[in-house]
Amino acid sequence: MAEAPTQFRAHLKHKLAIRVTLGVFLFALVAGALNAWFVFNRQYSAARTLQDQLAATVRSSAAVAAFVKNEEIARDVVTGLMSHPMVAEARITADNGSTIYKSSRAQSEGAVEGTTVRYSLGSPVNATEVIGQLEIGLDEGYINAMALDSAIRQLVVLALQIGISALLLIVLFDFVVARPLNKVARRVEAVTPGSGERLEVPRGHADDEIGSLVHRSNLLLDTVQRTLQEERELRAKVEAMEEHYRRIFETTNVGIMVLDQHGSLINSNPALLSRIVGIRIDGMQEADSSKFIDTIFVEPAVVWSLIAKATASNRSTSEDCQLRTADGSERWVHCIISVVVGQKDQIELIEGVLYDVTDRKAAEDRARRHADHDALTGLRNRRGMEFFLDRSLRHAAEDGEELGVMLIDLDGFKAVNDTYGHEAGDQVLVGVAHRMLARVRRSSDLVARQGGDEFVVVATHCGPGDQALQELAADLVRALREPFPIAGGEIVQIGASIGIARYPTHGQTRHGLMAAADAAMYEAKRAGKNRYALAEPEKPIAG
Amino acid sequence: MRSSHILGAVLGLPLLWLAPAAQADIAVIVHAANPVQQLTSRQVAELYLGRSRTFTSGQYAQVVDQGIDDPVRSRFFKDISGMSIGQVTAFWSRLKFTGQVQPPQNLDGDSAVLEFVRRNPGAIGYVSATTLADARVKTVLVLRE
Repeated sequence: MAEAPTQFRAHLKHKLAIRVTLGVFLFALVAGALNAWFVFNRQYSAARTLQDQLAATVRSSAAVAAFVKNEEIARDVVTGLMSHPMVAEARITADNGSTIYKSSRAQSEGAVEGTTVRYSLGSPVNATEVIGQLEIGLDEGYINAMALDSAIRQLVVLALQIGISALLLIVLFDFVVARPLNKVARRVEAVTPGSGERLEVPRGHADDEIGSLVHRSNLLLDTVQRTLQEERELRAKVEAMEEHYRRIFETTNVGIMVLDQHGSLINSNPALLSRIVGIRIDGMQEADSSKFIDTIFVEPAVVWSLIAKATASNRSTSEDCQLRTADGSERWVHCIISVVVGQKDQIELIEGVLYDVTDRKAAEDRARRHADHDALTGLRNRRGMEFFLDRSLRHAAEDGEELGVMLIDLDGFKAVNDTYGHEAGDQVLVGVAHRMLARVRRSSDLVARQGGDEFVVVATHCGPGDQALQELAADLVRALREPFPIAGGEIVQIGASIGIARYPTHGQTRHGLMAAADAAMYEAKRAGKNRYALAEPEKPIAG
Repeated sequence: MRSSHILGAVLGLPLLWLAPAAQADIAVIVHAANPVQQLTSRQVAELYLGRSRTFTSGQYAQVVDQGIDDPVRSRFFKDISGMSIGQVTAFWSRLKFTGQVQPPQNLDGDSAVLEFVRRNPGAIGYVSATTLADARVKTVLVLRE
């Protein structure tokens, strides 16, 4: 980072230098070629002019030499001409064509042809009369050498000029552009974004592009500072809010969980795991986390159906759910499920809020038990029995099974009550309940106290023509005939009359069945008590 | 030679005095024995400017000139070559420096020229036509006024 500006500056300068050099080179190439062409042309044209001038200079002398055919004068003239290095050959001829004098440079003999010019020599007496010729041939090699020399000289001067200009340009560029830019770059680097620092305009650059660059950079810094300030404030707000929510999240007694669509735990607050679920987060295994719902709930299906309902209705759903606990104690939570549904109607997130309702649930259970059970014997009361029987009838109807109902009325109980008091009566009733429970062993069956000295047994899953009901009834009659010890060392004896009705033979409904059983019970009483009687078969009963 | 100069001067002076009134023609003369009958002014010019050294007969020509400042000389060169005396002098000065060619001998006055031509068979000279009355010389060209 620190070396970057130096690299940039060097780069820019080098770039310029390379381009300028290349440009100069190309320009020199073209200019050199053009210049050479011009120089050669000029040199040749100058040579021609010189040739003519030389001829004009010596013409009268040459004419005299030709006029009098004087070799001495001719030699003098020719030698004079030859003294010029550009002249390769000179000759003076008389009017009859004979050479008066001639001289040539041996080495340039061949190169003379194209450049030789003949000048007519007029008579001194009559200028229009030609009395001889002056021939001057030029040395092409010399002209070329001169031209080349001149061209090179000019090229060198040109190259020097351009080179110096380019050098000056590069140096000026460095001073005027690169260094101020570099300075600005270093200052930009030194500025802490968001601080109040601003760049200074390099001296003498207030009204040019560099000044503009600095000005605009400062505007940018203003914006950055403003934005950062706003962002800082916003972040502080968000942090405060986050802190607030985090504290709520962490300290609330409400458990909060975020799950993915498979029920794996993504996030939760401490209350959920430690206070509600009762497990430590570090004790939780990966498998537990990935099947969080299946792990913590006794009936995960209830929660999954809640999730399905919430997904379908796009609303929160809630239910009381029992948690699985390590010590086997009952623990209930009220679970509110919300589902975040993605664009393709798939579940993205499952959010659950759980709060402990174990105490409330227990109170509710107590209340329900109170309503459904008989406080004295602990058996179901009439209401509880009716609820059970209704449900059992629904199941029997659905499964096509038979069901038996026994109505049991105690014989001689009123006498016990009157003779020994209510407490003794209650002791007998509790004893009756115990003996009946001891004989009605199947968990699917029910023993209930209808009220007073009337009891009901509901036996489910009875096969047609099953003798088990009658055997059970006989067993019950026998058992209840046994004497009951009561407080004060007394022993009392009672009996029981039992009416049996079967579903669907004796009734389709609870009322029908109960009425049939009642009728059968009275039949047993009439027949002498301490016995059981079956309901009248095939007797249709309304209701 | 000296006496002939004086003589020429004595004889020539009155003639010269008469001459300006009506300028006489100039007669180019050769020895009477010279086979050349007639010369063109060009031929005369070539002889007087050193281009020719001989007559057409092959005989070597002894060319004599009038005095350097003689007005007739000026007329003569003007007539035969169109050159002024200055030009002629320049011309000869070029040739003289070579050391090989000498300009014609200058003789002062017609009588001196006449005398020279009379005596030398190869001579050629020029005189005023008015002074010409001699059978020993032959006029080959008359430069008319």
